Amino acid sequence: MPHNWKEYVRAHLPALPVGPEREEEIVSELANQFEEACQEALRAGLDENAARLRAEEQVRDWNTLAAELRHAERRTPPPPMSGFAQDLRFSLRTLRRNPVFAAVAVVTLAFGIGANTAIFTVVDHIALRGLPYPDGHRLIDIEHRPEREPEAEPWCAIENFLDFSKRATTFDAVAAVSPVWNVVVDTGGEIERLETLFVSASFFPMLGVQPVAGRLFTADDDNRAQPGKVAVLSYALWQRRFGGAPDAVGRTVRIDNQAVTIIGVLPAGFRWRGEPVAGTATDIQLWAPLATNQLARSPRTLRFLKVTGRLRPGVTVEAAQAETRSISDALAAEHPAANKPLRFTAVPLAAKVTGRLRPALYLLLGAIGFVLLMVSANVANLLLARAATRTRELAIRVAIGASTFRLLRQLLTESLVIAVFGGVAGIAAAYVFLRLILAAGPPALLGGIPISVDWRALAFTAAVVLLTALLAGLWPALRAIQFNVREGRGITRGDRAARATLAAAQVSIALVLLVGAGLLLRSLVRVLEIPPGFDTRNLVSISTQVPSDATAPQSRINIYNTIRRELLATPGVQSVAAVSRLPLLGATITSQLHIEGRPHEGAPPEVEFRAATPGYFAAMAIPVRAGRPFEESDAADARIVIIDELVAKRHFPGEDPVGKRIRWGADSTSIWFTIVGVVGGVRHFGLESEPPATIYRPAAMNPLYSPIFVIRTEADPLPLLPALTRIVRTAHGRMPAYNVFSMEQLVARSTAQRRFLASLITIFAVAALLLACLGIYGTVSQSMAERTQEIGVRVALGASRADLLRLVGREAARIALPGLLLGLPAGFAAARLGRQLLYQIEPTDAAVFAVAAATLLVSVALACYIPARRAMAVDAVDALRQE
Amino acid sequence: MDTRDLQKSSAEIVILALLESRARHGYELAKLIEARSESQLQFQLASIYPILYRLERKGLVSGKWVEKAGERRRRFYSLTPSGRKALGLQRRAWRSFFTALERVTGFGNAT
Repeated sequence: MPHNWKEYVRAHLPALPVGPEREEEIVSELANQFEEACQEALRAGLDENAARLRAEEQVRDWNTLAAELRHAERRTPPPPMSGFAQDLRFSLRTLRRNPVFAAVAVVTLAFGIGANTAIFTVVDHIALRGLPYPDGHRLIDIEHRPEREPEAEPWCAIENFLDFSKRATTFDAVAAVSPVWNVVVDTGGEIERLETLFVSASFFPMLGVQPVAGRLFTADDDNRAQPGKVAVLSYALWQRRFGGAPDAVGRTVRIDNQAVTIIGVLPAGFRWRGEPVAGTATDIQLWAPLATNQLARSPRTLRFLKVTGRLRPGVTVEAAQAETRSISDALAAEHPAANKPLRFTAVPLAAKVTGRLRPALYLLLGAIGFVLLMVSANVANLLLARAATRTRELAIRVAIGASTFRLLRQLLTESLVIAVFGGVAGIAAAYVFLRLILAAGPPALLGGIPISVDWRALAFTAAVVLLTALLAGLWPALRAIQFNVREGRGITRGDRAARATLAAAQVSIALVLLVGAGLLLRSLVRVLEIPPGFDTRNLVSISTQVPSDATAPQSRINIYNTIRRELLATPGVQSVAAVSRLPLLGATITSQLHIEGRPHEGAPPEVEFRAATPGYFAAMAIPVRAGRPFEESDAADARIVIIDELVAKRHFPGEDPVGKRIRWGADSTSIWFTIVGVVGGVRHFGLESEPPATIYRPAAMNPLYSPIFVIRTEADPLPLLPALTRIVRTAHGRMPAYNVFSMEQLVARSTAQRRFLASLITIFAVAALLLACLGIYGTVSQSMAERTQEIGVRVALGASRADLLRLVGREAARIALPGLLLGLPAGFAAARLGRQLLYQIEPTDAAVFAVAAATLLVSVALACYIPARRAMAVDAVDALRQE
Repeated sequence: MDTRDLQKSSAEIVILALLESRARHGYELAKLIEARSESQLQFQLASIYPILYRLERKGLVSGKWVEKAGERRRRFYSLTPSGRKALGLQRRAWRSFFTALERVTGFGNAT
């Protein structure tokens, strides 16, 4: 009886995930196999039963066979992650076997990833994330400034602000903020001066701020007819002066000698990032209604407010800008005397706030990105070096059927494992780097906002880790596989070329960073060489405020004289004077200049304006170019004025200004002042800003409420600072003393951002240089090791040490020269991109490029020192015996 | 690399080699492997089918049912052009591997 093998197979074969036709085919073929085996057994003389049993031996394990069939018949390729765990185990095992390789790779990566995460964290907090207010993207800076002076500070008069906010329909809120006001606060303890902003009632609601205690300002508080005597505390002040006591709300404190009720406390994280404090570290501690400001009822000609609005939902910036223009035109037409030259413009606040910091921050991000590239190249180089030693392993795996995809995945898994280890170590490193950056970074750049590694930074790190794994792993992996597929090309030679290419790329990246660092350092030196217009050595400034009840001019003069006398009595003090505003400390309100007998065409020119005591120019060592300085003998009501050489040059070209008469301010009825002297220009806004045209009036005319003492000392003033500060505080009752600086500190502050940038980029450049050296060292060493026999032959044939040095030199030059040739134009391109960060230096500065290239070449030479020594130590006999 | 991988792919290369000269059916291949390897390759004979199916799926061999006069209907497998290429590639890889082995173990002359 012919056995029905098909039925037999169907009875034993577990179900397969295939269609009925395919199953029939498989069953037929297997049945054939049994049938053939059975027939053969019968032919061999076995009886039917024995033959059948022999045939049944064809399959001993149906389950295994079914599994194999299922595997073979699988239509979709295996999910890509199915072997991942296996790859992972394999990678970990490989790394454990190469601890030095693993350690070098992980440490290098930790440095690169850590530094990237830290810099990203800073850039993200300052420049990338939006403003920290609900609907922050709808906030718009509304700027009011002379149409033809786009650089002028956009101050807005209160009447214009009120008109604008009444008419604007594209904004659902418009708020005004005063300049930072120094007030003297007496809460019962030590009297102190606090930085305060006066804001319209619309300000806090516009930002969506809720108080943590009490309430914020209402329209009633901000009523100019009857302003509320109220104030809101910052969280920090609440904690510091009231210990966070809930009953601080409702208490009365004295602010500038006025009784004021505390009505609320702002949340801890609240910080106004817009004008006028944008880009500064100013920490506002006290807030008051705009109506209580002493300028609240000032005329339309007095511009002292910064204005911000919030777009109505759904309104575009363009629509708001169009409306702003039309309101601007209307206000100019209605009040030509005050508004004719002025225009309102609308700019998104976020761009405004971060705009000025962006170039510097992006430069840092770009530079650190380059460092990451270097690190990836180094790890790629290590992987390439190791791939060479793994040629055989890979060849075997290809031979036994591992697919290209499989191998690629395996190799990438390895670089991913390394990158992940590097990333974990890098996060730890990022915390350290971030602390260093925050400690060293200038507050104006860091914006005074809390910066910490958060989930955004960690997400960035994860992305960097993946990128690094790809960057570092893909090329070595592709090369390794390519070799194995295209058998016959010498992996060693090809691999050496690949490593040389990588090392050359590193050389060019290092050159780019060196050029960047060089240009920034030279810019810094240039900036530090700028004469500020006065002598900064041995000079101290202390700001104070006289009690606000000192309304009689003579009482303010008396207070000033008392303090000055005591300061002068301090050993080591040479001279003491006072001024209304300090050099280098930033913007102020300008004044309009009128010259007698010369009616101006169009808008009158704007000049900086200062009040100075006699002796101020001498104490500051500001040179008197013509005429005379203010003198003690000048009468208090003397109508005299001193101009600086910029005013002289601009408005009195080719003539002697001394004796001419000018006046200032919008009020055309004010009296004329006679110019008695011309002094040197002073950089009032920082070393990098040109000195503005400035006029000085005698302080005696209207004695200063907030005199800034300038004290010239015989030697280093720093040890004297505490004693001098104490004198200002106590010489006349209780007075605050703040902004206590030596002028050199002030200069340092003015250049802090530049120094910070230059030093960070320099650190990056040095790191890149080291990495490049490491790359070259590795490449040249390996190449020399591979050529040991060749060197042996050369030595045997009488090659001198110089010949061998040339050999190493050629090897190094093969890497360094293409790197240099590529790096020079790249450096130039990068320098052009960062041009606005340079100061009085061209992005093509030959000296910088030469020094950078020379530094690189010397470093390359040093990196080749050890391989060269090794080459020269090769013993011909030993080397040849290895053959 | 586990030994199953090794067996599987060595079986693949053996099958490709056996199909190089002419088309053969499953039973014939099984018998040839059994004979040539002197039963060194230990796998159940029917396991040749999953391997054939996989090779077919990869496009390295193609199978066709053929009915010759007086014989049963059988499925004959032949090498495709890419199967021929893969065989050459694997041969070279193995050769270089064995060359490497020879060098390492020091047998024979370095080529």
